[in-house]
Amino acid sequence: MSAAPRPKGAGRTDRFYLLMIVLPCAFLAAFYCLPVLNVLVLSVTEPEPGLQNYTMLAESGALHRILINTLRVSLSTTVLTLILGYMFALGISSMMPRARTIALFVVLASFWISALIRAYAWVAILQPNGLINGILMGLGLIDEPLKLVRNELGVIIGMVHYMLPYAILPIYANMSGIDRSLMRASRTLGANRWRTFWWVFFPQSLPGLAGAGILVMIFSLGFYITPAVLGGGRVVMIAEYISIQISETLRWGVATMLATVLVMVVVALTVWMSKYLKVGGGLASKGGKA
Amino acid sequence: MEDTLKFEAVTKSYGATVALQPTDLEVRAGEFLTLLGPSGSGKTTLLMALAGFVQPTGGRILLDGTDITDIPPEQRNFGVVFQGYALFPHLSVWENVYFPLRARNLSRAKARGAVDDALALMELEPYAARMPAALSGGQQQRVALARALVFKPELLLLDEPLSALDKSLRKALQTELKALHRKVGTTFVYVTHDQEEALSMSDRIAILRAGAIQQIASADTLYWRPETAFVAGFLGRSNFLPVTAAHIEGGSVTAQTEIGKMRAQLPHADGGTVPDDACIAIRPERITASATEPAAENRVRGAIVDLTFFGTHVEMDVDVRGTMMNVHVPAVQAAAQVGLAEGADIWLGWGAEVALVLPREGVAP
Repeated sequence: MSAAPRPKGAGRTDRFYLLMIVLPCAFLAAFYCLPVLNVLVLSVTEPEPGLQNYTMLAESGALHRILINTLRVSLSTTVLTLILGYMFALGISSMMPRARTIALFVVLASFWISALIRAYAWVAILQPNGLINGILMGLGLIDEPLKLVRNELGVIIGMVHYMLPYAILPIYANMSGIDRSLMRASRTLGANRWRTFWWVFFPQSLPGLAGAGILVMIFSLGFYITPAVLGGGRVVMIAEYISIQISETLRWGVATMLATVLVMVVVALTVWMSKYLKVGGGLASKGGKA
Repeated sequence: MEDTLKFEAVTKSYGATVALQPTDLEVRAGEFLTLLGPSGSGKTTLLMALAGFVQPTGGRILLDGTDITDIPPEQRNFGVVFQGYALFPHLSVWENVYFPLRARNLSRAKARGAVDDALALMELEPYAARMPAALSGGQQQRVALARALVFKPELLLLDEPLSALDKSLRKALQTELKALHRKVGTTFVYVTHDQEEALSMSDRIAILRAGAIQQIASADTLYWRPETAFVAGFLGRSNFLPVTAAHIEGGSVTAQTEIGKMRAQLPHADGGTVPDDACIAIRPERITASATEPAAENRVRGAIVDLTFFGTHVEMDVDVRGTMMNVHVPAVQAAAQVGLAEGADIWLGWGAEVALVLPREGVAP
């Protein structure tokens, strides 16, 4: 395409589009990059210049617990979200167009409800005298309430619920690009439905699954409201811990160090995603046709 | 290779829509049979019923006397080449061809010989390691063929495999497919809407219209002895003269048409009756044009409305008392003939043996 002769006045058009990019970039630089840089600087200057905050990362047992908590909850959330999201996407991709529109609307509708409201709704449903325990005890299936909330289980339930649309959409987008005649071809070549799924459909749906996985993982690492509400202070993840250091114990050095580590991990995952999985980067180079 | 395939009153309807009317069809072992028809004629439904993707609402499909109507596609052992080829994009050429053998639980080592033979047959050895996206359209088709033939299927089904290619390549691949059929000896069932493809490759052609087979025969029989006006109009061109009244007399028919009384024949020499809604079909190249009244059994006079030179022949539209007739005159003859010009009056003549009385239902426009 670049070899095509450039029309007259292209230079001016290019400058116009350049301006369109420069303005939002300037906004981001002033109100996003500068504060983030400030966080970076604080992490090596608070309370005094040096890397003492980062050595804590290696030494502090409390920090290790927080990091391991965060990693474990995020990984569990990612795995569960991917399984449920894959099933849902598989379901809608085989629906009739009309039913599919309704199903996708239901998925998107959950984007419009704030994380806070959803978290408290889950508390209401999962708490000892909540909906689920009420029903189970009413039916006589259990004698005392199950511990569904203010623990890791509650946090994971809430996070999986929040993350599902983020998994469904990329997985579904990828699935809808898979040529259905391939499944027919596979059947005529002697593979039954089960083998056709695993040999033909599943391998081709992997890019969507991987993209969704990294997206969910990145989001999960930084979750704040959902674990704070559903964990009831017992499942502290990195974001809640940072918030406590900033607003309660006032250890800004530790807080900014953890924030920096979190940003680094997320950036590394994002780069890895666009480079090796060709998600995002692949989208751009194919002109949006994944 | 003794397998014969039989359709017995196979029907398919979707609610009130009939996609396939009760159809009987016999595919002979080793033949190249083409299902030819316009879109919506039921040819793809017929092929998909054969492949096992369309469950007939009535009738049976028999392979060598065994009922296979309820057998799922993966157990039928039929090779299918799809429109657009349906190569697995995540597998290399070799892996694509190995796929059906893997589905038959053959290890890579055991399948190697068969896969390599299939690749050799289609002259694909240099491309074994390539991914399908890195192949040209013609090469992709050869991979699809190798994949569909590697497991020695009872039958090879081809669903408009050439429609995605450009014209010059299509021509070359027609020849290739025909040669391949001769070489492997497998029964080919080929679906197309392109009459040229059908004529150039098939042993027999089944012409479909509105979910029913109109006629099955060899290409030349279909061309010279069509049994319905639809077949006469779909394969090549024909002039149609609606019949208002007719009576049979010995082997021939005398019929009243808008442009006079005509002598014609029924498609079968052993007689039959004139259908209620009939017309006379005459091929444009069987009509002779002359300046003086010809001796032919049927002769009419008309004015040349349009005259087009096509190299091998000259095509004329002649207005015969309001009925437009299409006439092809060999170019050599046209050059020697005086008075062939737009606006000129001319005599047209044809024998009773080239004018067929056919049922008019579904006459091509």
